[in-house]
Amino acid sequence: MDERALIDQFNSDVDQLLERGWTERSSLSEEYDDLIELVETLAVSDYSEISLIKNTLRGDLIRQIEKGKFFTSSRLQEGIETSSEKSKRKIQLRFGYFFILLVAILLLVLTVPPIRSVAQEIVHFLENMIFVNEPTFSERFIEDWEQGPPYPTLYPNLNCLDCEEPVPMSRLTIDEASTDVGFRVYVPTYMPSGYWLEARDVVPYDQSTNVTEVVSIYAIQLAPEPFSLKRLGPFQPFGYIHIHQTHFSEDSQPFRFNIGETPIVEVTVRGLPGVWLEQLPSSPYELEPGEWESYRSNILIWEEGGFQFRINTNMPLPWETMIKVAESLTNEDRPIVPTHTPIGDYTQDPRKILEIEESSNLIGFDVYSPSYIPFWYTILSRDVIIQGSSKYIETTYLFNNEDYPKRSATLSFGQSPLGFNIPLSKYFLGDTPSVDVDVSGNKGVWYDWVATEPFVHEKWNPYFHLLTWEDSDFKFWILSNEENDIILRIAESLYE
Amino acid sequence: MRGSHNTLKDELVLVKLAINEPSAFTRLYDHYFPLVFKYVLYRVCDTQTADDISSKIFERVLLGIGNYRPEKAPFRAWLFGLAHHVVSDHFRSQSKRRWFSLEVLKGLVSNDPPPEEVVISNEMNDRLLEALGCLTERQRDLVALKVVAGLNNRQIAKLTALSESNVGVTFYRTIRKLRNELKENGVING
Repeated sequence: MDERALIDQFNSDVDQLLERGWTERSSLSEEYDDLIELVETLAVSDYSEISLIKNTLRGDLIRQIEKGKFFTSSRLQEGIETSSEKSKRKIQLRFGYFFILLVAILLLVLTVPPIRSVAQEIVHFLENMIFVNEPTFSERFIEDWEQGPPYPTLYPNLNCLDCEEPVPMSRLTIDEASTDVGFRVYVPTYMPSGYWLEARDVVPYDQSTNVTEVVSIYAIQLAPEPFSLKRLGPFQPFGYIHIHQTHFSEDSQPFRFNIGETPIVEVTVRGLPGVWLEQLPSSPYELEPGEWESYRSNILIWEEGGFQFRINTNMPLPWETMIKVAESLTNEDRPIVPTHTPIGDYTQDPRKILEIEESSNLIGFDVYSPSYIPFWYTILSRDVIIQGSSKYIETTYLFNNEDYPKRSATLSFGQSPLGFNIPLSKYFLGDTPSVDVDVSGNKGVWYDWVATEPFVHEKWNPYFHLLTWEDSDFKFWILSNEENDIILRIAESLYE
Repeated sequence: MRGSHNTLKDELVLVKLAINEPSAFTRLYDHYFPLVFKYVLYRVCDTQTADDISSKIFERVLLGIGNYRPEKAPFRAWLFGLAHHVVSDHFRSQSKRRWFSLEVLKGLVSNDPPPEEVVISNEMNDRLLEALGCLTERQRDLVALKVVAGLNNRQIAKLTALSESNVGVTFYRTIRKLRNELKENGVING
């Protein structure tokens, strides 16, 4: 029985099992029996006893029913339906994204065999890409490794001391890259907060494939929260979003992309058919000596205007974010700027950098900003946070300057009405005593603590500080792992 | 095994009466809470979060149940469609955390379980949850929608924007992956 028939049989048996409680199946194999039994176990397992709220919630809801709280609210129902409609629209524009870290490894993935030799394995295709359900490069690498010597090697071989060092990628301007590659380069006008342009380079023309390509790499210093280092692999200090723009000549053969068992999702991108691949095993890394695992990535691929675009990331970014990146691509000469949501349609958005006046209008009081922010910071966001009766504004900055010794500093500056309680967990403050300080004649409090898991990172300064003070009108705070004197200087610059 | 698609007797009547009759609501709640809780738990793999989200789901159910139309979908499909969106909203809000802002640090407060909490544990259930934690969010979603919510592939496809065929393929491969995970951990033999 081929896999397709097996899958159909399996789904049919599962439906029968869930519907009736039993299935009239005959045993196809021991593994198949295991799968059906596993489904049965998943279905019958009862976890309600571990819920802490089961009984109290019942009681609460009954009391509210007795008080007549729940009534048919057409407005709420509209809200639920509107939410569903939005989800539908967004899902139609869903992007996947995937690419391995180094362009050289990508070239190993993509080969150009005669189409007829792979006709049996094709699961999907675009004009210049065929998707084949053979093991990915990483899966093949690991399989070859597990079979014993001779062992496969990666390029670049990071363990090889005598090998030629890989040539670092350039960071060409848009004009330089466009001139080198011979066509106008598309750039995103939107990137999620925290990403900077790490590299933009042209892949050398390959006579065997007759393609030319430009790659832009956006990077973010990896934060341990909310992304799990373990999930991403132990050797990735940075998250990446790669954008590839490839031009195929008339003589070019389609690329072949081995995707293993990764399901393909057909999507619409900028009004055109595209493909989304999620958590594809992309490139191998050595977890322990001799034990290899795969990094996983998400990919979006589509073809437009004579180019193939491929956006991939090693970060578990939500697809709404990747949609915006793809939709924002333009070949007009525009700088990358964060997108702002109009005030009339305001929703909290971590990508926002609200202007001061805009912030003041939203929050309802005058918003202030320090006149001194060290040059090695880039603003990531300024946003208004409203939670019930509490409201405050917070501006976050990230270290981002090649000329400054990297110490992975992050800084947040906040402002709120007087009396606002900064709800910090004792998890951070621990037993550290507070110290009274003076900030330009205003009473302040200083906290120090040493970060522990999950905020420990080899490139981060682990010493964090919170400086909070009040003047006659507002409460302010600075939260950062920057040096003490710089934090104080930033605070005092508010009054200069 | 009792079929998980089993419908509560007189379900439509109970649904109509639920927002006014505590006894009708109680029957619905007692039937569906274990399923909703398990559905959420399979997706988020955390008991406290599953409690929080289940609570939101039932509040929304009661707020919206007056407008439920049986001719559009079975109640179960409506309920789990709502649950699906609530959980998805939760994941979306989780992804909006920022760097070392108050929002990040505040989030840590709720993550600490009270040490005095007593948890009734079943080893197989625990191992299943652990194994589910190794799946992607999408894979967990499919398993939960199929096995707990009892939706068919067409209904799942509509909710997740996958094709019906992809749902079937992904579900099969996910169960295989789960089985291999459990086998590697010695939970099942084979």
